[in-house]
Amino acid sequence: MRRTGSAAAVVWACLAASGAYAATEVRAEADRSEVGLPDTFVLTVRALDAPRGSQLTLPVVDGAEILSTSRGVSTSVQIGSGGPMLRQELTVTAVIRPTRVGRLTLPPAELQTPDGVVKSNSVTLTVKKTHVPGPSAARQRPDLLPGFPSPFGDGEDPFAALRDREAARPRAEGDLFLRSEVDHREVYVGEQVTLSFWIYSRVDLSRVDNVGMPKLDGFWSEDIDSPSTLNYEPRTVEGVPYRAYLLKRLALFPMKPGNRDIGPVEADITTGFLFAGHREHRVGNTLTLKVKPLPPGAPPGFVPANVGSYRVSAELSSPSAELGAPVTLRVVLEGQGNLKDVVLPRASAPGSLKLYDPTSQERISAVKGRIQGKRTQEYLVMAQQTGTFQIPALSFPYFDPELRRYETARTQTLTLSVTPGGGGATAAAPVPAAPDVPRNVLAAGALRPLRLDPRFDAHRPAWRRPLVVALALAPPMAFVLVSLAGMLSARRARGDPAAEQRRGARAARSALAAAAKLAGKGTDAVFSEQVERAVVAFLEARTGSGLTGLTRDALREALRRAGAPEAVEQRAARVLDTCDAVRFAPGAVRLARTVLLEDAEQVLEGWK
Amino acid sequence: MSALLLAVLLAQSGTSPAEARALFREGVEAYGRDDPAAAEASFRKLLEHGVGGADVNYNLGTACLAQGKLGDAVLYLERARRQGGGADVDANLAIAHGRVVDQVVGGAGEEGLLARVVAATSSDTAAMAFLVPWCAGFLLLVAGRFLRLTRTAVAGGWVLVLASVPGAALLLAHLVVHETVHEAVVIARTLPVRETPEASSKVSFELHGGTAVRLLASSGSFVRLRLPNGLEGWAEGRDLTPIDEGAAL
Repeated sequence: MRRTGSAAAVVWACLAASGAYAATEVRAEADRSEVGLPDTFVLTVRALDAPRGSQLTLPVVDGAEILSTSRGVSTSVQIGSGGPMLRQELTVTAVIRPTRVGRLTLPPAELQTPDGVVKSNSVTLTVKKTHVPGPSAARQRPDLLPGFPSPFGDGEDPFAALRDREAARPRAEGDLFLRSEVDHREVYVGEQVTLSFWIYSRVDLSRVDNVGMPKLDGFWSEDIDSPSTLNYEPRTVEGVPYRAYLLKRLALFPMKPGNRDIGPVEADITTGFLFAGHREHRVGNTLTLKVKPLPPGAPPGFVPANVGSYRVSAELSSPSAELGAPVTLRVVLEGQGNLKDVVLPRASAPGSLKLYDPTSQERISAVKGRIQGKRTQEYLVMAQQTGTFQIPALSFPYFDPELRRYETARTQTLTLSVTPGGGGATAAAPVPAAPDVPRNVLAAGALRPLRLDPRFDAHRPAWRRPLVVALALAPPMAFVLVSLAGMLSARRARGDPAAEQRRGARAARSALAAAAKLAGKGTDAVFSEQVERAVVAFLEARTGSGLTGLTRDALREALRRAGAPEAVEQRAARVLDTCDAVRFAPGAVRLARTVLLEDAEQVLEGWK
Repeated sequence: MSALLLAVLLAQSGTSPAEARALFREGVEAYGRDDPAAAEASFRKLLEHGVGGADVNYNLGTACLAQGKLGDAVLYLERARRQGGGADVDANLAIAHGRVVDQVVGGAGEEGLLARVVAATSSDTAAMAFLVPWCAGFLLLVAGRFLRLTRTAVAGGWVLVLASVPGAALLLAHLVVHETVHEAVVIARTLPVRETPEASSKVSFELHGGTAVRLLASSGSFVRLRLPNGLEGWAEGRDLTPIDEGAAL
């Protein structure tokens, strides 16, 4: 709005203090009484002598849509017989387009004042199906030959059809308004709709600031055009020439079906130049798009993002390659549509060819407002073995919104011939020097083959196998049993004389074995004492009576009674005599230890 | 004896050894014709008839891997590994693990010592480590009783018995882990893991086919699972298959 300056504020303050107001009056009027469905008309609501703080509200219009609104305030001072009178006028101007044919009645607008509500008159128009020339069209139509009849006749306008295709003319606040336009009102999910924001002006523009774009929830958007300078193209709206400045142009791809609203664009527009410039705020119109779901009957593998018109191709960088040398498989998708969102089919190859994850490139541009271009995926193919392999054809199902049916683009089957390579950097292991001999380089990444000779035994944990359990339990049980048996046997042998004899004889043998260890060391006395103890113990065990302290004769008698052989009797006497001599006359006897030991052994072994 | 046992098992399953071998051969031939799906069907039929073993599980896992069925591939190759394994099992299992989408990050060392030792050995190895010195030791002790061996020999027997203790401990560890630790593999392509055992609960994270998890508890159709890095949550049990054959979720 134009600023009125501080002087007016002072006058306002003075007159407001004097209370010189007239009665409030609200009037509504349209700029025409008859309007076509593709046309717009201007509704102006004026509130005269509105008290300070009043709010002028437009009515809710059924059967029409408000494209843009603007507000204004003007103040004037009238000098009359009653003295100076302050008159304030609130103005709301709306550009409205009817949405149905018939009689259109606009309800009264309301002025909210501190004292109450003041209503305007209602306005009635007739809405026709076709374009109805507006009052400005006749005013603007040039009179080519003044004074002569029109060459086109009076009732026929040769430019009417052309004007029908032109944008309808909103006349908000005269000569400057914002306008959002789409190329289609009904689209399929994923189909492109081009949204343009225009400034229509009949005055010079110097700047556009604070552009507020509407939220585009539910759309995938691509920027097509964002001019950085204010360039216009001439456009005629109902015969009135305008300069149309493109603010922004977007390609929208709706993602969900249903009615989608696109909010108004807003901007601060500076008209004029330098100090003569005025800043105006404008709000554009709201659009509603009807987004249709994709029809049923999608082919297998179809992805909902694949909407447009496409063709797909595939090629190998070389039809043959040496083993170990990489080959590039290039899959190219070209066409019109949301190329950034489409899902390309994934290439596959037989197990002998290893396909690495692809790299992707896009070259997208807008031609005549349509998003189109090329998307390329490149796979690195490494052969795992020699031979001729086929890379299966790829199919790309998509929905063509122009043909309104599903289509499938396909590639050709590709053949790759792999020959033995010369080794090189990709070889799995160092190759002996023989550079001119072709080699079959075998990588280690392939699956190991199946097993051919099966064993069908169901595996069980070790602790559930009977053999393991038996091996774990049997040895200690056997040991325990053997120990018990030994203990029982020993207990039983304790009351048996023959067993006592055998045990005594065993003890004597052990004592003699200990004496034999002393044969080469120690004194004769110690050695002979050990031998004597072993022999006496043996003889006592065999005779079953004590022999210590007996004379030699008594000893012989006892041995004889026990049934000892004669030789044993004599040897025993000789051993005991020798031992006595060593004990009682150590210096007089030269002991032959070996002989004494042999005699003692003869005693023990000679009486079985 | 094992042949007799196998014959009994096959008789119980209604499949003769010859039929089982023919089915196995069919699977191998189908795989050779580059028809891993038919091969998988043959090997699955063997398992359904109760004819298992490391070879069947390995071939089935490899056939699944060739078709990109990572969940089944990891499951059967893991079973083959636990039933004896082999270099080919380890190689294909490594390839399968390499293709699994999920990468469990961090906490690899949080596995207990017991579990790690058990994972690094087989129960057969543990049984051998236990039984060989155990039996030899007691043999010496019993022989010492009968043959009146020297004290050194008898002491050697006791040393051998003592030497069997680590093997016994390892075997016991296998037993404990086997009975208390239950592992499963994600079979579904994707498996949402939730905060609580309810279908409407918030999804904490998502798992993909082939990831091995540990099962902790169950509630209705949900099981509580834990990843090696300690991440836990609840998931539908029908999308998981226990690695131990016969174990229930």
